[in-house]
Amino acid sequence: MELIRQIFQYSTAFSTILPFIAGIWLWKRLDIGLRILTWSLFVILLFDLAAMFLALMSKSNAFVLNIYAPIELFLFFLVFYLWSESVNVKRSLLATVILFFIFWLLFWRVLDIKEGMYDLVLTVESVLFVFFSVIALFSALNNDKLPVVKNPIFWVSSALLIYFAGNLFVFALIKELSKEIPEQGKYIWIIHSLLNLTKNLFFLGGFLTCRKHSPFSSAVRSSS
Amino acid sequence: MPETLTVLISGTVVLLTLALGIIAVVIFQQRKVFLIQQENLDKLAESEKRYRRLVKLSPFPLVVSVNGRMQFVNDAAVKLFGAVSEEELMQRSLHDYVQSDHERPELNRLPHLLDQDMELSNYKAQLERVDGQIIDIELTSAPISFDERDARHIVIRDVTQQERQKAELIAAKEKAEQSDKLKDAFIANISHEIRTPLHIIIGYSNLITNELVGKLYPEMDTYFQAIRRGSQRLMRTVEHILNISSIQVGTFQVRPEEVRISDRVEELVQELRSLAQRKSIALNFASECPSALLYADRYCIDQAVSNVIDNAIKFTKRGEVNVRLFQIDRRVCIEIADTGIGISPEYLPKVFSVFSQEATGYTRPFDGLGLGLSLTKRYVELNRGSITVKSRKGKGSTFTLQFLADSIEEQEQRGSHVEYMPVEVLHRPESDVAGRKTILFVEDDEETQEFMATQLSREYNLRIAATAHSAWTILESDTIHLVLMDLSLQGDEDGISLTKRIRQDQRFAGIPIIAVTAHAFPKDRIQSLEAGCNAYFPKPFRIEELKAAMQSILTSGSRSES
Repeated sequence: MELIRQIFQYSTAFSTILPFIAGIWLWKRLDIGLRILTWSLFVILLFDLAAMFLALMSKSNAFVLNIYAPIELFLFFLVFYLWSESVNVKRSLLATVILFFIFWLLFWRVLDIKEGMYDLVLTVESVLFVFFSVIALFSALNNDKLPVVKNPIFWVSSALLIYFAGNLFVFALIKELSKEIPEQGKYIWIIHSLLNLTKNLFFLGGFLTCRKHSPFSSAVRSSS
Repeated sequence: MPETLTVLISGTVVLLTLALGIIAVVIFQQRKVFLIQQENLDKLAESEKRYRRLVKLSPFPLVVSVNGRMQFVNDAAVKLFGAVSEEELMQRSLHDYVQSDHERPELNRLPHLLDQDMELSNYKAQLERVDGQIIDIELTSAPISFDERDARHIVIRDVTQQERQKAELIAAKEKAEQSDKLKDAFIANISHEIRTPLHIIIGYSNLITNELVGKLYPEMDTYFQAIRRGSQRLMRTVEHILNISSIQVGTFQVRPEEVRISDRVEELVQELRSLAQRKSIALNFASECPSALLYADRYCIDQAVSNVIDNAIKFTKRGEVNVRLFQIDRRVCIEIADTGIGISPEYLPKVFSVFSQEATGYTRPFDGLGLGLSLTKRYVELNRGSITVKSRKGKGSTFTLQFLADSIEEQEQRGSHVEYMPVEVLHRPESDVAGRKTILFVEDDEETQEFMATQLSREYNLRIAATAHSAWTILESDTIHLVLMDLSLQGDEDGISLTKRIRQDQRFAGIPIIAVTAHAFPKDRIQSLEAGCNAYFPKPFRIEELKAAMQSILTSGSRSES
């Protein structure tokens, strides 16, 4: 069981490499949103490696996760913001992100950034991303010029929806569960690893849709 | 299993299921929308293909250009430009084909206009075909979007043939107009050339008759009367031919004025009474509307009424001719009824046709060209009137001329008074000196000069000039009280021009001028009066009438017309 957990833990940390490489490979055909996503994957990869390294050293990686959450949120927000053509959606996204940062700063001062807080921050982030993803998915629905499976927005939004919807309860209850069942609690993290792997595969799918779009076509942009 | 773990797993499952459900819904719905869209796109592609084929095979040359470069041309355009293929045609810019023309700079604006974002409709230009041939074209153009670029859609029409035909038509029209002018000039000359000798004939026969009163054998008096009648008949015939010709070519000018119709008809009846008396026919006149006014051309009315009365007398052997004037609402009717030979029902519809006569051939019982009634109808119609005829063979005929009476409102609009005056006084002599008055007679025909000298020299001092120049010299050196002016003169200046010159010169502007001319068309009368003549006497005229008019003008200054 421990072996399976470790396999998942390592593979999930390195799974980010796949879409990142695809992003770099197809860089010239990517629009600004997917280019930012590529850079985001690079940042995520660094954070994942840092978190994994700390975990291997049997040290708390809560600090990394606390810092990672707002950075990840900002980068993905930027992607959605750039894809969105509706002024109202752009304003909603902006307001939500600003509120999140206020919330994050407040908890920074109140809670211990090293040990506490990350579960709450990640939970709030998950709720927001579920919200962003659903909006982006339904905007992709309106694109009648491109099949949905050829629309990178669909892949990226689906990836984030699956990842954050699946991890919402994990992020919310992981700390509590670790207290109740310290040994078994860490196996729950397998869910996160599995979903993270799925997310990265979906990202890869999103990048691969651009193989034939050169550059990122207006048809794709109009769906956001 | 701890409760927290249960919540975590079940919550995760629920949310994941929801997420996957949303994704599935999106995939399913979008696929449906996409399929419909694809179907529409397929239809659109099919329609575009059809349209493209239609455009390609259109008989009208079509070109789509972007900044002068041809992006699309159809087969008809390739043919129009004389190219072998689309590629050959599209090698050059559209502007390169547009022909510049230094003589017609408006054609050179086309390239500039095609570069502007505006529509062109039926714009004429010239193109140089691939084979170098120049053709006239007419193009219609509008801005369109072609392959997401601003382009121009141009429909070209080859109008070379039409332009050639148009040029030919213009040339033909000019030729016809020239012919018309020649014809007019010919008619005017004929009129002048016939009237002048007739004037001499009539004048001298009158002179001889008057001079030799009581000295002639009775049969000689008859001969002179025959000369006079023959001349008058010839005069009348010429006048009819010339007038019908003038009406037919549209050069006959109508000059409406107020006419008190009852007085006018009565005068005409009086003039023709002697003719009726010679045939022992009673000519009666009755007016039921003595104050009725017409707004019409007096010459036309006179000619129409006298023609019908003259005809009635001519075709009546015994009995009477009754002329009745009456009014129905706003229509003034002149009814001329005779007890003459009547008209057969077969001939009745043709009675107003040109040159038509019921009896023809060597045995026809009455003279004439068959122009009188035809002319009468035209005179009447030119004055908003109509003419009708009722007749029974052997019983007589009734002609009714109807005119629209002049309403009070119309009179007020013209601001005219109802009293009929022939012509208002335009010029008075400056002075009334004692002794004989000096008359300047401007005439280029020697025989007429001689005749008039014979007629006038007993009462007036006479100066005669054959040219405008010599007339002017006399005017400057002598005191002239009246000018008798022929319109046609030797030299560069005619009588109309000389009259205008006299009127413009303050020294002579007050001298009365009487036009005495063989130019006897209504337009000649109008021209001479407009130039400044006080009166107009077309040749041949009765010398007594001219003398009366001269006397009247010299003493009272009143203007008159023969």
